[in-house]
Amino acid sequence: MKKNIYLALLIIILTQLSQAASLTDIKSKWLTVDNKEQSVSSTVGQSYTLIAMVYTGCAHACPMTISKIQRILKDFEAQGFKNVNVILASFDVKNDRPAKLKKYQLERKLDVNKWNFLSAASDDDARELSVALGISYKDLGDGDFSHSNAITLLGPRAEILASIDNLNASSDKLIEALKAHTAKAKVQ
Amino acid sequence: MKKLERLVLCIVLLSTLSAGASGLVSVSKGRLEAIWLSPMSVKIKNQTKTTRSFIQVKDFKLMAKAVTVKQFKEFLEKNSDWRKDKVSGLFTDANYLHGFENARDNSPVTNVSWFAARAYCKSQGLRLPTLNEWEYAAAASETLRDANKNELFLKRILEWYGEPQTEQIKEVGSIYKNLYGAYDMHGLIWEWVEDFNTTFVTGESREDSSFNKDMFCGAGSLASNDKENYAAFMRFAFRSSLKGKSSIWNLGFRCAQ
Repeated sequence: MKKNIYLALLIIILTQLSQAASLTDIKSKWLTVDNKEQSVSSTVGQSYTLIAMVYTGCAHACPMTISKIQRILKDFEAQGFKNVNVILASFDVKNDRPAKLKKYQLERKLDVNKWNFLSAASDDDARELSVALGISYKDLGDGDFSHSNAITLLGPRAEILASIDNLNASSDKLIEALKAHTAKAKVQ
Repeated sequence: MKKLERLVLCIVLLSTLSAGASGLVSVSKGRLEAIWLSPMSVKIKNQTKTTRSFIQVKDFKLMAKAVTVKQFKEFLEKNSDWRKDKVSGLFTDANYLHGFENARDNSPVTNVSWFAARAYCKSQGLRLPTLNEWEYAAAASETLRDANKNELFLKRILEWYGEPQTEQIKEVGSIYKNLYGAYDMHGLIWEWVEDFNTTFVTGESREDSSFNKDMFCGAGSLASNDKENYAAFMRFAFRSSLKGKSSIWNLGFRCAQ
């Protein structure tokens, strides 16, 4: 009898593990700045990743998003986490094609080994990722978008670990999640 | 020869029947005053004038009725990835398909996430309607294309919004049929739209939805200026509170083409 209960508990734990929110469940193919097709989760390397959505035609908040990410990366480094990559996926499907994103990346001098710009194949795919990351955006029709700014920390399996939803938030929440995850990984 | 004719007639009849069974109604293109958007300021010859906002919608098709429990059961049989015990935690929350087993076949399926609703529509070769399409179709009463300022129509919607919430949802097709042949656009359930996350509402307590230059790029999009249309404002406020994985007992969907 007791055995059954333990078994039931084990099954519950296992199902919960298998239901962890990971971006691997998003199957859409995106384009890198070099026109290579890949999924968002395959862009996540073996390490931790910060992901945000932007559009490069944006004059105000998007450069701020990038500065904010650079700031977070510095805070991470101070805590000993150096190999954190970045994914910036664009929701401006029409204008942010790979060549434009490549130019933008070069202009902003963002290390190609660390920063990954992704261009969506369709509005459908961009919408799906935005919803998965809890980002709101709206095409205002004049080349501008209104959008919320969320920066999300992903684990090595593209699992969502934590996110901050405004550019004034401190890095603490992300650092805590990073520490908690590495502690857990060591136990396993 | 007669037999052949009869057979042909029979096939033709059957095919029209099955087109009916997919249950799509046509909604013709047009524009609708977007009473939920704030008036636009336009500068003409150094004078600032405020103009009303409109949305433009192309011809599209919409399911006459919300997707039912029975239809969703059939979907789950073929798409086991979406069964409660298998579904991804990215796409659903703990409430997903709550009460589904005991729900009546002809009731609209609810407690479905945006991701699940979208997957259902895709499996049918369809998609979710856009927010503009949904609002455009839902603005029609039995007789008017735009009843958004019709007092009786509004009163009916508000009465529904104000009704005490009971968990027993009526069957699809039981409320009213509008000008396009679409049933229950109001009064039965709330419905998912493809771009529900385009809605920004001011003054909400949620940390991430107040207007703030640090959080938003570009101009604001929604300020319910028209107090008359409290009903539309309620829908937008509701949508802005949703996440893609939200499963809510009175939130379902219908597909579009």
